[in-house]
Amino acid sequence: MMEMKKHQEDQFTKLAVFLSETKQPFINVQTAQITCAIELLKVLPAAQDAVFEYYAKFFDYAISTYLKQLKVQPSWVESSSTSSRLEPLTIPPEIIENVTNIRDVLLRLVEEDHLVWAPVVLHWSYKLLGKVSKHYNMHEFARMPLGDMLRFWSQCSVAYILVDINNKTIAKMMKAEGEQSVDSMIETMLGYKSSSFEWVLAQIGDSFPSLVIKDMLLCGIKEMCITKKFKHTEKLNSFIRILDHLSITYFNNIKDVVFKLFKLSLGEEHQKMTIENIAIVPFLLHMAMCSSTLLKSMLCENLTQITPEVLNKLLPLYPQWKKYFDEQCSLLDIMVQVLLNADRGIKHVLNLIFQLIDCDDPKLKILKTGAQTLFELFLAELEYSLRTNRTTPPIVKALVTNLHSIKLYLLSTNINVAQPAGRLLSCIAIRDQECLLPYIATMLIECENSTQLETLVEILSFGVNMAHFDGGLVYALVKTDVSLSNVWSNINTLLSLESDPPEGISLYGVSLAVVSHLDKICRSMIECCHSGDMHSAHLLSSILSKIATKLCMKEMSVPKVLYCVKAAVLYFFTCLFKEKDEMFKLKACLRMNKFVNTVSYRSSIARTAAMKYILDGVLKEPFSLLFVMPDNRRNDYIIQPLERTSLMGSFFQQEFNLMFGEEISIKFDKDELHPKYKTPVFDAKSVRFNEQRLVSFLRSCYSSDECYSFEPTLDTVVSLALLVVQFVSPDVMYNGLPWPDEDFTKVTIERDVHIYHTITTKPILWTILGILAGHRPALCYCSVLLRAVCACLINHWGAVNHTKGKSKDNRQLLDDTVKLLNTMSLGQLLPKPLDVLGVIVPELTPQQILIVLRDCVWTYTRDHIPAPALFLRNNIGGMWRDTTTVAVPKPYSDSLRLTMIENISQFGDLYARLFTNNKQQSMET
Amino acid sequence: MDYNEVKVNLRKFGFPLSTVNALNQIQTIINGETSRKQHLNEDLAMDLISEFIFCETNEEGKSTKPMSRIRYLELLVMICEYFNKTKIKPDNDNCCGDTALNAIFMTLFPQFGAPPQRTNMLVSLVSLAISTYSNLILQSAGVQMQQLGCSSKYSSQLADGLVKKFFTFISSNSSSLHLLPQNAPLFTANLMTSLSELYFNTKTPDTNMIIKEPPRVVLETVVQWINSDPCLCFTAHYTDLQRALPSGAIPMAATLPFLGLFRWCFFAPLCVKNNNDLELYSELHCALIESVMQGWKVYSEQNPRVSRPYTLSVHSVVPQQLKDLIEETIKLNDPVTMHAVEIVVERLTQSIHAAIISDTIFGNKQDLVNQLESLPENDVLKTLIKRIQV
Repeated sequence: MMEMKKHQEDQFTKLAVFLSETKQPFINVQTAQITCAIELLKVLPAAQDAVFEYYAKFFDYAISTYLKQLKVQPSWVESSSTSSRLEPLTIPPEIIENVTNIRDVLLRLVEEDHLVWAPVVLHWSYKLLGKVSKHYNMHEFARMPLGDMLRFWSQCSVAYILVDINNKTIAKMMKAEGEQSVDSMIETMLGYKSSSFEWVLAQIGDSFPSLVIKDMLLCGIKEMCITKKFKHTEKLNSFIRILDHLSITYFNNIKDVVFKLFKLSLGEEHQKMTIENIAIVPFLLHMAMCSSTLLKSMLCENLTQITPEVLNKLLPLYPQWKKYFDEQCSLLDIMVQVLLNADRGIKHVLNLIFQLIDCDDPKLKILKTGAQTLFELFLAELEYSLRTNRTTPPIVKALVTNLHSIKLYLLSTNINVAQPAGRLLSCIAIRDQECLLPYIATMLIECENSTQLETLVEILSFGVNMAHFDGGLVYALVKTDVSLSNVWSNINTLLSLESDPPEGISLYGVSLAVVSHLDKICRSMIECCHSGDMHSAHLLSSILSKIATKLCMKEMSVPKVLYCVKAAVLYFFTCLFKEKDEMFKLKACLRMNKFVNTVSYRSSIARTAAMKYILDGVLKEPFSLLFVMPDNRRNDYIIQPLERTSLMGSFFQQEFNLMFGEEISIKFDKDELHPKYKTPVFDAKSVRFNEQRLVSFLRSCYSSDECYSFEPTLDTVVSLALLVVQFVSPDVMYNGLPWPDEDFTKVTIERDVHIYHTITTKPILWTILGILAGHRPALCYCSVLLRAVCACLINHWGAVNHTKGKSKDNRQLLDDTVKLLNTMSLGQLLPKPLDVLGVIVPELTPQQILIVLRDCVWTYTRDHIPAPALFLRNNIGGMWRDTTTVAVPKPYSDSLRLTMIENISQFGDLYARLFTNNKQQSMET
Repeated sequence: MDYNEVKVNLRKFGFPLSTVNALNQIQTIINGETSRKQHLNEDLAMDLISEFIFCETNEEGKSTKPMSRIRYLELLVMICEYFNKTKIKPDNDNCCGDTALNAIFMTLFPQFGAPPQRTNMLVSLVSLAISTYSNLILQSAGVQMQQLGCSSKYSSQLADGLVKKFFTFISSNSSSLHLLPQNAPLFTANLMTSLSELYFNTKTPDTNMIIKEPPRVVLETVVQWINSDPCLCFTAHYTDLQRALPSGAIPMAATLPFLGLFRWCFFAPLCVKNNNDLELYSELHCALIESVMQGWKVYSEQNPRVSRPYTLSVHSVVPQQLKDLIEETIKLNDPVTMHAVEIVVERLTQSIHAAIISDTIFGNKQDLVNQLESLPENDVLKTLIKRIQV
């Protein structure tokens, strides 16, 4: 009993001491008193409130000391020059010591028995924080942004000790009992009314980011569930500010929390789900509208875990979500808005949407249509805002950087996927047109079927996208690591579509763009010809012929024109040479005829070049072999020449070579010894075919008629004649019109032999000469060739004469003689009656032939120089040498006459026609 | 003295003195002069209490801001000291306290007519009194609780407040708790009754059909109290309240903690998961049975004139909630829980058996049999039923 009494007195003394202390000013408080008070906390639960109030007052006092100092010298922030800046504000050390003591004491209590003390201490510290921050904020400062507030308080160490108490207690609770134990406490803290408390939460959030974020969001969700409506309250704003603050360091936590929350709404059984869990998704969507941080955290790589199946699980919740959205702001609208504001994560969203659109699973049908509708709305909205607003929605930037992710969908064979993807690309192109180029290029390269091409066409025909086709084409053609054949095929299709556009599609400009890549096309074509890839070559030729008309409209640089002519000629020859299918061959030849015709119609340079290339091909192996009859050949196979020099190299050197007469060597980089390169020779039938084709090709060059009627003008034929001379004659000497004395041939015999050899081994030259002869007086310009042949023939026949052989035994010689004579008479170089020489010669002996050639041909032309001036324009427009008036003087025709008389049995009627009437006439005169 | 005169005089003093004076004044008003009309006296006392003691109203009778916690503590200390300093009558049996002080206590903390914060004050005061062995306050509180009923709102608020603000902060081996049955047996017994009503009870409206467990410290303390004195639970029954009450007051019938505490033991195996706690419950059950069997016997041998109390009532011994809970548990068909059900039935049987032996059960035999037969089958139960029917 006594003991009890003593104890009772003891307790009352302690209380009295404590109460008396509380009446003292705080400046005198000693550390011992602080620790003494804690005794009361433990033994006297009734005194708890008082002790805590005492501590709170002390903290309040400590903070106010600090703030008072701040008020006394408020200039320390502004006046950076004064020394006051060097002395940061200090709270007297003894106060700090006491405050630290209180913290230690409280934390020790918590450590001892957290179950009992942690909630109490936590409650106290948070209440005190709330009070302090509200008090000093209200009175001393106006509403500050969160960052300033944090900075302001971070200078106050006492406040930080308080936060420390709070955080350590939470940490202890979490460690001992798990997160659930703190949830309710945090929730209480989140119930704050004044935004001045924000900084405290931000501070707690710095220590327990996930927890605070989760509780903040849950708190918002609860509120939404209660009001059945999403309201953008001041509280939410405050939450958003805190989230923004936390996102600087704890963005990953935010992401995780958001995703965890989302997973909550994926509970197995929807009946059992709480109303809060159901509201998660609508809430998050609403929040994403308000907070860019949340938006970012939602659109992150976590989205990759959301598959269509997962979304399907959410489907039954949809009817319950409706109530959280109203008329003005439906679910889809919000999602569209969210997407418009999206950032980097947009690629995941796009992936998901396209995945949904692409899937065929009947289970996901609703989602699929949903995704489609959403995307339609989204596109419409995006387009609208891009076309009307000056500001660009954030998504555009993100889209531009993430465009590569939609490439896959652009090339999808599912039209439902490819079309929206295409439209998306087009929309972005409204603002950022540059981005279009690589995708046009990619599509050009990778489109392989009509669906993909359709997407491309749709993109191109959207808005002004066509303007960027050119750029895209550049991109596509620049790529070296891909085969261009697909590009060519796509361009070909596009060209066809341009010329014959389906309804609603305008591809005007494709050909113009293609024209600017003429050299590339030509180079590819040449490469294809060399490598024998006839398929691509045909394709390219098709493109060439399609853009031919545009070629004329555009001012083309000369080298380009020449280059394309070269390609065309090479292609023509290669076709004849390699193409097996007659149809293709014919088609290709006709196409090239037309192309060359179109090109050369405008440009005489092109024409000359074309003719030059053709002659070059004709005169050189292997293409010269095209025109050699089987019986004139030495081998029964064609060996493609072995040339080690790089084809490409030589072509690059010669690419824009303007020099006329420069030899264009067409080289084949093949191994001569390999039997694979021995191709069989052409039979007579194909040689004839080849000749026909060549002639028509040649004609298409020199005919200058838009209507493609192949009517040549004299100039062009003359230039052809000059070219022939240039190619066949080995030097520039003696290429003039006059025929010298026969003796003079001794001087020129080497070159004569050369010319003769060339003409006899390339019989196609006779054909060409024949053409020239037909267009009088073009043949005159070739008189050097005729002269050389004639000189050689005279020499040969002379040799034959000595051996007394028969002229029929010299088949080749006779043929050449006949060809020469026929050509000359056709060209009216040998007027009547000498024009019949060709008919007579085969029946003559070599001796007689020699005489005839000397007297009638050589001597006549020597004395009557075959000049173009002899030809006059007749009434039907052609040039004509009037031989009826200008008769051949007797001395020249006498040999002929005498020879005929010798063989009168054979040439009786011919002789009569030629000479008898003539004689009568002359006798009459 | 005129009313206003009293007030004006008191207003002349500052805080500590005004309260002391007011307390003395109240004492004289309530216990001293009987010349004035009783109800007028009470009115004056009430006014003085709210203005000068608890400072709930100002001069004009309007409510003021709540006082600071430190002043609150000061006030509590003052009241405590006031009660302790008052002369204690020599015939005090440390059970009912002083009649005059009881009257003051009842005026200070009435059942009706006081603002709600005074309930907190009461809790704090009792808490302080327990810590400081201020027995007279505790005795007064015990009397007040019994007068108002141990399951009344007043009592349960007090009990609940004490659990939250006192028991949780104090360890169960604290000496002030140990000595409580000695210092204030009536208060202890009544507090137990109130506490027993707080837990494992779905009748309380605010718990929202969730069965609440008592904190471990409360459970430990209760077990300790019962073990320390088998008669403790009967205290309310044999205490003569009339002596403790002001003249003219009618003592209320006592409620014993048995029924409530037995209910804890019945519910615990089905609800409690913690093994340590479960052991405590079986300890509690033993202590209760011991108390039923022995406690009354011991006391009645010394005081044969006192009537026999009832420890259990046939009608409430098997509450409906327990039956529902047993049914639910059986549905789970889990061997562990089935075992728990068996324990419950056995405990029930033992408790009733003990009550029957000590002849402190109230009710009809047939009703009891009917009640018991609705329980799941059990050998011990069968024997009991047979015994009752014989």
